Amino acid sequence: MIALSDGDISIEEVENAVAHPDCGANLLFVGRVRGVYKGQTVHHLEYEAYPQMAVRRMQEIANEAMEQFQARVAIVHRVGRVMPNEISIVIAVATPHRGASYDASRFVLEALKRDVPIWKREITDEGVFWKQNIKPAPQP
Amino acid sequence: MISITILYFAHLRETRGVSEETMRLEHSVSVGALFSQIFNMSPVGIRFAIDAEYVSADTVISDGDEIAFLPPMGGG
Repeated sequence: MIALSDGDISIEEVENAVAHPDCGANLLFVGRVRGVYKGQTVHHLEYEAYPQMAVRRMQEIANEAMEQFQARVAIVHRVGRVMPNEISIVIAVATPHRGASYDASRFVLEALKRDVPIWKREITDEGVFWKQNIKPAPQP
Repeated sequence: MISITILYFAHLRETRGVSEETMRLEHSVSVGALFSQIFNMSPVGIRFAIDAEYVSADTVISDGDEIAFLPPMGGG
């Protein structure tokens, strides 16, 4: 299960998508919207995506996790308006043993933040801000 | 003459005022040069895709390409 969702994400559905008799470890990462950022109240976030490319990149990341960690991976990411404490992303991984699950989960999240074309706008008391995961490197 | 579709996201969409447009060009240019022509600035921090795959800034566009300018991402 690799998807974007404009509605609530079911943790159980994402988890069930990777459960497998060969896998003794099943690890969930759940990302939620913070209601406060640097002292400012966050009213909500708005996520937008390049859907076709986002799903393709998420699938490629899942394939890489299978190659590197023998991990079965499911990823569902929200788009649209997400309120504080609501779920923005669920990543489920399943591996034969627990060590690989921790490694795979981290790998998937970091790769997603870097390479999957999804953007978020934070709506706060102080204004509206596009938030980026990685600051652009200064170019010569 | 080549015809391309350009997709804009996040602050680039807001700056341009549209999320998508079709453009006709007399001559092929690189995606990086196209960005600079449109936004009148160098593409610092911007990544590029053609037909939903990453490409480098010096990739030359072809007729029918779907070009995307991708600002730094905020997923997760």
